Amino acid sequence: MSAKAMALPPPFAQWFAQQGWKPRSHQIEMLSAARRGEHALLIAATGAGKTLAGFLPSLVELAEQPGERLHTLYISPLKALAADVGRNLERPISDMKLPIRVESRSGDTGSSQKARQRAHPPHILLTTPESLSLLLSYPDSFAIFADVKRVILDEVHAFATGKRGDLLSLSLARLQRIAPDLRRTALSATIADPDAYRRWLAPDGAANRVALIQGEAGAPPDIQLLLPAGTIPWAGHSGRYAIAEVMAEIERHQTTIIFCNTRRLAELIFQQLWRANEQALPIGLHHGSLDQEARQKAEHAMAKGRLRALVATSSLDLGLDWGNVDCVIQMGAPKGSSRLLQRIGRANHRLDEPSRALIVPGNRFEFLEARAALDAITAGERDADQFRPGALDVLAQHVTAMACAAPFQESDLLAEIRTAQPYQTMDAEQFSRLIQFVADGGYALKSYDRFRRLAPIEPGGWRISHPQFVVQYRLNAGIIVEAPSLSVRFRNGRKLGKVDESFASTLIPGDSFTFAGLDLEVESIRDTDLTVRATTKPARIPSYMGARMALSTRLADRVRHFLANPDSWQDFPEDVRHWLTMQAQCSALPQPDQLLVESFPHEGLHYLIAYPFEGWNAHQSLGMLITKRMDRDRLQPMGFIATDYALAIWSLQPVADPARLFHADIMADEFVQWVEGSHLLKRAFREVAVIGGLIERQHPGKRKTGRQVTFSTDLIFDVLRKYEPDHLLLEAAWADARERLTDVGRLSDLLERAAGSMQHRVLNRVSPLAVPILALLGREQIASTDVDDALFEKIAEKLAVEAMGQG
Amino acid sequence: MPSANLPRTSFTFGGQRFVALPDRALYWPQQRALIVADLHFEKGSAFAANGQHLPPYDSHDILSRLLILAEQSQAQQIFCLGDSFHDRNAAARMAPDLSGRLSALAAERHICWIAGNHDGLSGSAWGGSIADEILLNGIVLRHESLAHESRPEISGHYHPKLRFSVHGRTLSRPCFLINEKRLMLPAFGSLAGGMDVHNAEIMRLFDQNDCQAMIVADEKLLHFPVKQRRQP
Repeated sequence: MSAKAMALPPPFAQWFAQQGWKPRSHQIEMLSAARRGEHALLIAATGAGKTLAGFLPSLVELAEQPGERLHTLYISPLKALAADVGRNLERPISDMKLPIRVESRSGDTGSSQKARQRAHPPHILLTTPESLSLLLSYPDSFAIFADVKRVILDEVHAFATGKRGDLLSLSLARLQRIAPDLRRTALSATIADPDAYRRWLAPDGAANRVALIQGEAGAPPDIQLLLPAGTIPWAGHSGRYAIAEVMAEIERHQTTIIFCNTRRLAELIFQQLWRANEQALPIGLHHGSLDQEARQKAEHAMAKGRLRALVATSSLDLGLDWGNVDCVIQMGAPKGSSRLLQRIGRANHRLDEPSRALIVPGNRFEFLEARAALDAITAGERDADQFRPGALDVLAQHVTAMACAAPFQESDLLAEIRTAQPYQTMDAEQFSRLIQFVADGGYALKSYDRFRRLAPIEPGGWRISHPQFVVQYRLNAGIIVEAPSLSVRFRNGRKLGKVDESFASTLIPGDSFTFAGLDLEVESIRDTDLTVRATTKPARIPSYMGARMALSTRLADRVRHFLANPDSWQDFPEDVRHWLTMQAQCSALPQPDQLLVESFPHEGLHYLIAYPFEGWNAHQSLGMLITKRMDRDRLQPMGFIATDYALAIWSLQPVADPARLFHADIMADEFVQWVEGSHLLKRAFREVAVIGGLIERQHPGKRKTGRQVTFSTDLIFDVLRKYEPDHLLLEAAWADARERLTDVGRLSDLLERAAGSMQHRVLNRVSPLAVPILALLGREQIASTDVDDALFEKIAEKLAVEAMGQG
Repeated sequence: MPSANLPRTSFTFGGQRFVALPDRALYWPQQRALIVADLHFEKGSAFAANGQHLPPYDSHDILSRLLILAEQSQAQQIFCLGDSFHDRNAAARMAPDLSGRLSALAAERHICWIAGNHDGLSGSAWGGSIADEILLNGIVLRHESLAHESRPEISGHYHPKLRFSVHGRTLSRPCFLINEKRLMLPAFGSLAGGMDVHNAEIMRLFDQNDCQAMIVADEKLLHFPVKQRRQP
């Protein structure tokens, strides 16, 4: 211990002592790794002084060798987080009177400050992946970053596996070329596969060059299931049946965060809580569609301790640390153990005290999932992240940025980008195609020679052909492409937030809906503005598109294990045990290596229910494909519904041989045809066209709305697919559609094992396991506009009576 | 297209029979005329000149589609209701082989280029005739509908499209808009976008409450009543 403490220079040791802190071992190890010149990945629990550990080597180096140059870059997934870290850094710097200047830079930073930062960079610059990428597009980036020593990536799990991670990885490759001695540091609280992250972090994917530093484990979290009267509904996802108990928890605790899985559910739970809020406690709402100002207001109120509860979505998965939060409630299924831990980590930032959390499962399947998550957390099991090859549209944007910074040799730039792990396998031919795309669109028909953005310099080099394209790049750079939406405003112009265009298109003046916790009536719809006024009319809650969180593979495995082992049910609530026991009697319990498929007649139709447990995305895709095949086989499919656990399809003709339908060749035959014809590919194309720079997201002075962007990319897509189906952007759109929108990996796995493992049960009525799924269907058919929960429960009860044979 | 045997997508306007063609065009049997609006030739290259490299196949696609319609309908004349070219310099950018084929078509079928706000009278570069507007059998053909026009009028300009929701998904299709006095055509151009029929700009021209959107689907003409969305 004393040897370790020696590693801390005297002023720092003294400062720690003044705070009443002992340096933690991982903080010292970070310092040692930095002194050895190593890259580092730090995995430490929330509250373990992770951020300070990340900065400690920079503070020490700058204290020992003061300089005038930029020393450390800090990259955070959120602007707000960067600002918060800046405030936290002030204390050690001012206490120890260190000669260190810290500044932040984001899209919100004023242009004069931005210019000043480039002329006189601070010692430590706090920024985001997008802002870093923009900085690297300036010719003076070579001077600004010439002496940068360290880069710190905070909450690295939040972006490494996505397109922002691709962009960041490319930016790191450029930084490393400018400053070869740059040491990279990544921080995270939850990572299942540290080696995958070490490979991602290291130059050239050389994981062994990244020191893995693990923090001490915090106290295990105290997580309970909240089950009013020990019963769980048949169906539903909201957990609203427990609203009185949730309210009681809010009253009991100082500050509670209530996480919901979708924006729609957050609005619903917020509304329900206020109805139950007899003491009128201050309860706020926070989700991604609310206006930024409203979100900041809620965050600010939380920071000041003025809210007793905040209902939130994944919009709060990352963010500022509020010390006063002492309870986290997860409404509905957790979907993954890592996500649950992340959310629980928002409560209590003290390492030695357990974080307290409650889960309210929405239905019986969700009960199994919640229990699986508890077991996974106890066992220290995390959900592995899926790393994938870098996206071509992101690379096109990066290449444009590099061309803005300086003319380049194609082979040099290829060598540089190949040091970024997501692009390690990029070959010269593919890169050349990409450059052509950036230069003139990359079409087989060479008619845009005159309109090139990049001009060739012989031999083998490129330069930007006109300064207008530099301006164009800077206005359009960025990785986030928003779905088309309409702004929700009051007549006085005050903006509440935005709703999806697909929802807005169903509205006419006089209609009412719930948003931002308010019941609103539509006054007018004009272009991209939805003007509203407050109303007392009954209102429905909009649904939002957004990516849907799917049940993680590992939790799915655990749920399968529960189903197969009645011994594990002993402490399950009576109604869950009864449900599973009846399933075993009436049909079968799916074994872990089996695909259970049931077929039964119900209300004049033939139902086929499969239980693959592969998550909503894969099941949704499977539903599309199987109904196509059933159509071909003249089974007259009428529809299907997918959940995270199962897929239900109904048809006019019975399915005699489901193995024929669940055959792996469906991926070759129906899949391509389906994706080509579906909106998925168009949606993906829209994103890659914007990120890749084919079309602008804004012009100087006027911003294109999401709506305008949509139809034009659909037209471009149609023309391109007709005349040049192998175009690079279509390839990029396909990659996105495959990986993100259809969960094709899990779908293929499912189909591969389906034929050999299928257990087909022919029943004469609905099975107990099918009740939660069919209840969902009943709701969607009957109450398409308004979700009437009373009706929902009635449907479920009726089905249950049929299934459990009590009728 | 033999005029004696009109297909199911025919309708009456201004006392004349017309046929709505599936590919965003109109046929007038009595005049043996094909009517299209807003071709926007060379829109792709106009954007390319501005650094947005849209696929350079739009002009080729428009011309191919137009040739197919001309062949199928055996039209003797083609009326292009303005904005046939994306801008006044389109001629300079159009590939020589396309230019040649377009001039040949203009000569063979007689194209009448009606002036639009994007192209003015620049259509003259390809032959045929040019006009600001045309009066034919009591029906006015022009680019942009005039609010005070009292005669039956066929126009383009607004690129009307109908948006509707099916199973929570929004679809949008180019459409015709019609009432007793006005017939508005969808844009024919392959890269020409659209404007929602409910937009106030369009609705101010259709203020009687008898406006319908028409879409050709499965060889049928579907009619959708268009309601004013604006509050009075």
